[in-house]
Amino acid sequence: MESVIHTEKITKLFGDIEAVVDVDLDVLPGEIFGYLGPNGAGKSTTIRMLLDHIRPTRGAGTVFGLDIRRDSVEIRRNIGYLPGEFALYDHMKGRAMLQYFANLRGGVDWQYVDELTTRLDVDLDRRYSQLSRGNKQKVGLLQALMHRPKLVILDEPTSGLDPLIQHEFYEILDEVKDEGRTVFFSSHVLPEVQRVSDRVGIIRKGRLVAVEDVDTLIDRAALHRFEIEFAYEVSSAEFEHLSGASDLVVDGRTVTVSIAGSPDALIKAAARHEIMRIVTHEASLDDIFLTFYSEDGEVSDAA
Amino acid sequence: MLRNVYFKSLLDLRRPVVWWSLGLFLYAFVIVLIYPSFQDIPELNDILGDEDSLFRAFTGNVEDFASPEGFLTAEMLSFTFPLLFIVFNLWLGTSWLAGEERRGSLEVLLSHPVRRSTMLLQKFTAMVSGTAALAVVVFVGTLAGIAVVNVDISLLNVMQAYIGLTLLGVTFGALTLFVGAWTGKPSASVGVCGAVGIVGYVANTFGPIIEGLEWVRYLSPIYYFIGGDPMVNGLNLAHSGMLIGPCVVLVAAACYLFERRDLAV
Ligand SMILES: Nc1ncnc2c1ncn2[C@@H]1O[C@H](COP(=O)(O)OP(=O)(O)O)[C@@H](O)[C@H]1O
Ligand SMILES: [Mg+2]
Repeated sequence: MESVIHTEKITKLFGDIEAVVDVDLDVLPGEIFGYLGPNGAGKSTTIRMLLDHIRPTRGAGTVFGLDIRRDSVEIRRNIGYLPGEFALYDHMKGRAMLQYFANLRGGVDWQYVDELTTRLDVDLDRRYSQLSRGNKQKVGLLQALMHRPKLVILDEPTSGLDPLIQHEFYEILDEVKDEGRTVFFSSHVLPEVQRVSDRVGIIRKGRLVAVEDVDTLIDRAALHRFEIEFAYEVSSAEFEHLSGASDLVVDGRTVTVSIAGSPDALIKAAARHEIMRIVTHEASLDDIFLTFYSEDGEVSDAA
Repeated sequence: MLRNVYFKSLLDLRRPVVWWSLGLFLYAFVIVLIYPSFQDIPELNDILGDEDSLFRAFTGNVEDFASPEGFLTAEMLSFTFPLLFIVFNLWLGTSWLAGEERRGSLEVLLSHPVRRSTMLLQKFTAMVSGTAALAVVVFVGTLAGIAVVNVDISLLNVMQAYIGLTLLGVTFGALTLFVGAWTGKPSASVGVCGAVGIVGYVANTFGPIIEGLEWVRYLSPIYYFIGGDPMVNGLNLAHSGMLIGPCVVLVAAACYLFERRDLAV
């Protein structure tokens, strides 16, 4: 199957800053691909290169099999894009703005626009300058979705949306997928990516460190950090070599350890002593990065 | 009206152009109305002094201040209208390109199937249209004045003078777009255009009265608007070419540079 998005060693340097380095991406038709990484990882930079807003320092890419540099106008005909940070025209009303963008694309199905407007709960009869941040974001979403593009590229789309609207938005993405269209979206929030994507690319410090099925990622994300306080000091030897354990720290009466998968072995080992307190934390994106994806981009299979 | 970038830009211009038109119409109209009272003071030329006097520089170096051509040139073409037409284009050229890039709406606009240079050309064309509309208003204001008081002047020359005014304005618009396309910085866009305007004005106006520096006015865009005395002689084609040529080069260079660089994001 031909990739909708394909990049080969695409790289963007800003002076000394390695924003994106040697990224090889393949996004397949009809999938929702999550592009996950902490702030400053290079997500927006990658996306802007796909749109031809900035040009790769080296490497190349195609969208729909067309060259991202040479055929950009043709590519953009079939893309809907929501930038991570954007503004629209303060003095214009939402509806006029959508009308304008629709015209630039040679027309849209207004029934679908109306449907989206209702579902996202946007007031299109107010000037853009009068809208709240969340509503501005929704107008941005509308212009990215309204023409039913073959490929939707969304840069941190849910920032500023309230949970109810976020839910509706995820539904809309699922429908886009059901229609056989493709979604590429970036996020720095793990649960969101888990919720909507089929596959996930993880970018860190400009490098694509892993591409996983979302199920694999969910397994990995089942990483918990346990903090167990005992009534007295215990020896660290008892907690080494537990299955799925990593990053063991024994500090006086407190044992802290990360467990991937079932905590059964840990609980049984701990049960031999008198326990005062157990605290567990869900792994943060950073913990997962640190545990599974080492600095040099190789996947270290701790699970 | 929102068919493409050109028409959308025109729509954006609607309100500002209405207000500017009101001001420009009144200015042109009133200046013509007060001419007869100056006409009756022939000594004015004596007061202003001989050819090289500073007073003359401030009134646009016109030869005969009491003639309709001289009066209208001094009151409208030597300072006020060039200033306003340049400012109008500087404002549009900056806010429509570097300004839109800085604010972030350009990233949305250019995610649509519109080539960067196409967008730039459509915006420039809208600037030309807006400037021409202002020139028409000025012409109508002048005609209205002439309809009320008796002024003996060639309407064809007046019209040609305002065509020159349009050329001057859009040349500065092209310069602003060029700097914005090159740097992406609104401040640079305003700064360079403003500096060229001010230096150009000084060079054209005060150059001629400084011994040995008479030639500097030939470097000034303002000279190629007013140097040929359009109210008396109509549009000087060679001079107009010295505005149109750079204007075309600047717009072409703007397209070229804008296509090549990264958007500032
Ligand atoms: N125009 C630019 N000039 C210089 N550095 C930039 C520019 N754009 C992005 N960067 C840097 O590149 C890195 C990646 O940024 P970005 O792609 O915006 O990250 P993300 O979207 O993942 O948060 C960051 O270190 C950022 O500071
Ligand atoms: Mg970003």
